Amino acid sequence: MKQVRFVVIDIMRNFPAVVFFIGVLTFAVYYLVIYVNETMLYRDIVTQIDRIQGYEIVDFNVIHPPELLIESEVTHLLDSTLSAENTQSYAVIEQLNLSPQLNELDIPLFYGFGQFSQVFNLDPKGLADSDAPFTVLIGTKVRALDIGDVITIGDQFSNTIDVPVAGRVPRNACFVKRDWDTFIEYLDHSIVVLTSFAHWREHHLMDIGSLLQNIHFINAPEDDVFAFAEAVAAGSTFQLRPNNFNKYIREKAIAFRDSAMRQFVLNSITFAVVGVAMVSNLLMLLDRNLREYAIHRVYGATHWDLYLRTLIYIFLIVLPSFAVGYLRLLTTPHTLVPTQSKLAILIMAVLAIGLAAVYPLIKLKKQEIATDLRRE
Amino acid sequence: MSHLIEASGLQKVYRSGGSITYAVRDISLTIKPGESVAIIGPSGCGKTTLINMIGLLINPTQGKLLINSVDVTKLTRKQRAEHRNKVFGYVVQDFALIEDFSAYHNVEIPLLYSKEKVKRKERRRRILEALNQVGLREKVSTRAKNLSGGERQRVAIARALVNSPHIILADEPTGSLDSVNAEEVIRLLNELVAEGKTLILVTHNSILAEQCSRQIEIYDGEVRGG
Repeated sequence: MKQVRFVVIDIMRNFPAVVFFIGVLTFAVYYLVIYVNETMLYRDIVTQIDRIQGYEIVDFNVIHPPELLIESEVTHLLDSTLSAENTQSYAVIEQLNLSPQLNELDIPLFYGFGQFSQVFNLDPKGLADSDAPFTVLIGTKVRALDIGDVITIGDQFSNTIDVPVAGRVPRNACFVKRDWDTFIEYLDHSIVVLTSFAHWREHHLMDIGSLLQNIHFINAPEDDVFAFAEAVAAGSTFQLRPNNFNKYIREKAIAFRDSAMRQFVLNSITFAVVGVAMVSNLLMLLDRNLREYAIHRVYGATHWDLYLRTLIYIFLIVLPSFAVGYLRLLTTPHTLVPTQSKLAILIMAVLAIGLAAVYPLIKLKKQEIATDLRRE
Repeated sequence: MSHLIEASGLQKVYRSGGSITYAVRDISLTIKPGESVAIIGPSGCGKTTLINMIGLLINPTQGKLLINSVDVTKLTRKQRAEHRNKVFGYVVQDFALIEDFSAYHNVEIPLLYSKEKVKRKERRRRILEALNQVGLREKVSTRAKNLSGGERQRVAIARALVNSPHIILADEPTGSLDSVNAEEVIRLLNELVAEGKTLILVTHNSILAEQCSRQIEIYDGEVRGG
């Protein structure tokens, strides 16, 4: 506690420099956190790309006029395309209209159709095969629910059904999708319901447009893909243009990586320059304080007391910037933050404090009390 | 009476590159409790090195040093720090005060590092008592940089006293003071000896040295008389 008091005095003595360093570090760390998160995202994207390499995946660009028309044939077509038996497709949508229970829990809910869980390896270990229409899984970090708890599926306009939670998806589970900004989504904080289109539409109002954008064909013959697009066009006002999803995701990932790495390098340089300036300032402070440290040591302070004083000083300068950075991660939607990002930020904070402290602590270790006591 | 300090064969050698400098060559001495000892000698003869070794500010290169029958050369760094806090009170020529601290906070330092946790109220009582003893009760809140030379040295003496140490080590305590202030400091040091403290001082001031019960003369790193 006494060292905290002396650190406060040190800060007051060095106030403009301390404020400057906290400001610049906060700026640098804020952006560093974003790019660290993106680097972690990229790592997981690469894992997912590697995973889907085994599949030739095709998705669709969807074009439609303002007035929508959907005939019942399209609904039947989707029933058969996104059934549990069909091994050549999957789709995923985030369900926004939820039952009052799930609205209250405020946990994102994703519906996965067809082969969704196989493609992204979401099945928990030991999950038994089931013919049940719905399999409810929860993310590893969902605390409000546990395995065996019952959730109510269905929106306020449709029939609802109570389904127990069957298991948890693996840690850091995620999937990739077409959106540019959020083309990876993490499921650690989400509910995933695996079902077929036919069962889903019994409990939810249909939004065929958003579903069509999220339909993916897996290893399907080209003729089947075009036949599907033509059938949709014939039975609705939607026009579907098939795309190579693997290629699209790979290109986006590379562009994403290049942008993130460029920014990360630039930001790291800023961070390093600020770090060097901070250490220089710290050494100046140390040099100015050497006599005071000697006085403290003459009267009983140990090396550890002085190390602690230096570490607290560094900690108080570095901490606000990393706290702001960490807060930035906490306020980012869970579905966009891999678990490792928070860990990486904590490790970086410890490293930053450690690196800033090394040289000053070595200098303190070598201090000669009698010599420094005579310094003016 | 048993000895408070027993030094035998103390040596301090500084090595720099290829050269070796003997700051203290081979000093043996004993000091009894309540004694006042002046260490005198020409500049650079090793007086300050000797008092710094006794005060555990530097380690001897060779030799044995017993304080209260404890071989302090074998203590760990932490134990040495505890000894410095508990056993010694230090007064140096240029006061060694923290300039932007008040007299109160300068005197408080030894109490903050005391092994017996001194509560704030008790700290305040002891600090005010020490400042009162040196006649600076009214300067309690004045920053060190706003005090005169004599007042600074009296604050330093108050700081040396506040933890009730057995031994006061004073290195040229009057070296930076005019005659009036030097006399005041000499009077205070004599008072401490009268109270039973052991005083070891390094000085060029013959008046101060003559008032001590014993003088040890150092010449070229060795004891010449005493």
